[in-house]
Amino acid sequence: MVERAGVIQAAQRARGLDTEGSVRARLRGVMPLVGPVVLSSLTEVEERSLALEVRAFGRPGRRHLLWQIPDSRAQLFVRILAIAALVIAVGLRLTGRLDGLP
Amino acid sequence: MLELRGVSYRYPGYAREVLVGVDLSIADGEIVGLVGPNDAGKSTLCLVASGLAPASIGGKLTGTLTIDGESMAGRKTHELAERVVLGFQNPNTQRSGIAATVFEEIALGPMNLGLEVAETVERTREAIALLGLESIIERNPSRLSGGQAQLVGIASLLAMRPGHVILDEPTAQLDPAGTRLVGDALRSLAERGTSLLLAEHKTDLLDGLCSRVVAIDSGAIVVNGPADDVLADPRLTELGVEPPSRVRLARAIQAAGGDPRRITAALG
Repeated sequence: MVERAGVIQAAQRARGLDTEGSVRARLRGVMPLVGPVVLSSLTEVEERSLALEVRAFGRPGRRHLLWQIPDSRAQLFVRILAIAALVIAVGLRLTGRLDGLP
Repeated sequence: MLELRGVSYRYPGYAREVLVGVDLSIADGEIVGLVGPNDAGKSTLCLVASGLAPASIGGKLTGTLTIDGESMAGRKTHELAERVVLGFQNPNTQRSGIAATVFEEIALGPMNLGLEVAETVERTREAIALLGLESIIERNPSRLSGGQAQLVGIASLLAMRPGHVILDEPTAQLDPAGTRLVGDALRSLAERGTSLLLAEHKTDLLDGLCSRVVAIDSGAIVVNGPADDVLADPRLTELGVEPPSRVRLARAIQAAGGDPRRITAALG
């Protein structure tokens, strides 16, 4: 949207829109950009969603990831430790042993 | 085979039909060109032939779309995507926005089909080779030139290995070398049995690539026949479609009193 706003601003400036000067003048210069930027973005969203649907984006089911990054031993240990800590914390909370903590 | 029978279509909220009584069939391995003036209904015909209208954008369709003998009525868009793909004119809207590299962008379609990684990579590499994109596979898809983005958009569709491909002005932003590359890639797809519908203003691309050309005006097919006949048909000029340079040259030679056949023979 930022790129599009830049292009539209350049096009409007080429047609005489003044976007420099005082804050008031700059604000006045922004107003003619709002309509084209919003409307063209909405139009693009429709085509973009169609293009994604063409590429089966909405298909349910599992996807195989292109890049699979295996955990190192240390990462695996921390991952298991974090899950165990969560289970213990939930267990302590449910049995009332963590009531004193904030 | 992709077949439209008696198809009329009206966009949601519109009073009039944009397509009227269209009959069109594209056999496996056939490349059909679609020409017509602006606002003739070419893009709408592409949307309807791909099933996206009405499956995704709504509207009222009468008549039937059948693919490989099966009616596509009521099919979901992801079911359609496994059979037919549609490429849009604007390459920026075809970019997923979620891929960091061109390789990942092209691989997105096969991944969405749930294919194994090895199969996805093989299809992606094949599409990259078909369109000569090897040198940019590590580039950010949002930082490509218009022509490169258009080639990546087409490669993203071809990587899905669809049985039927519909392209709406696929070479709008391409230079002559890029246009030739797309032509060669499409010819190679057709040789493998893929059917193609190609909406295009560049009749030079259609000449020699398509076996048949269809001209559309005001939502109805007005000419449908062998490419050589249709591209030389004077009605095309009346519709505002510029004939290919071969036809224009022959006409110019004829107008100057020469014999185009002798010159064509001399050119080999």
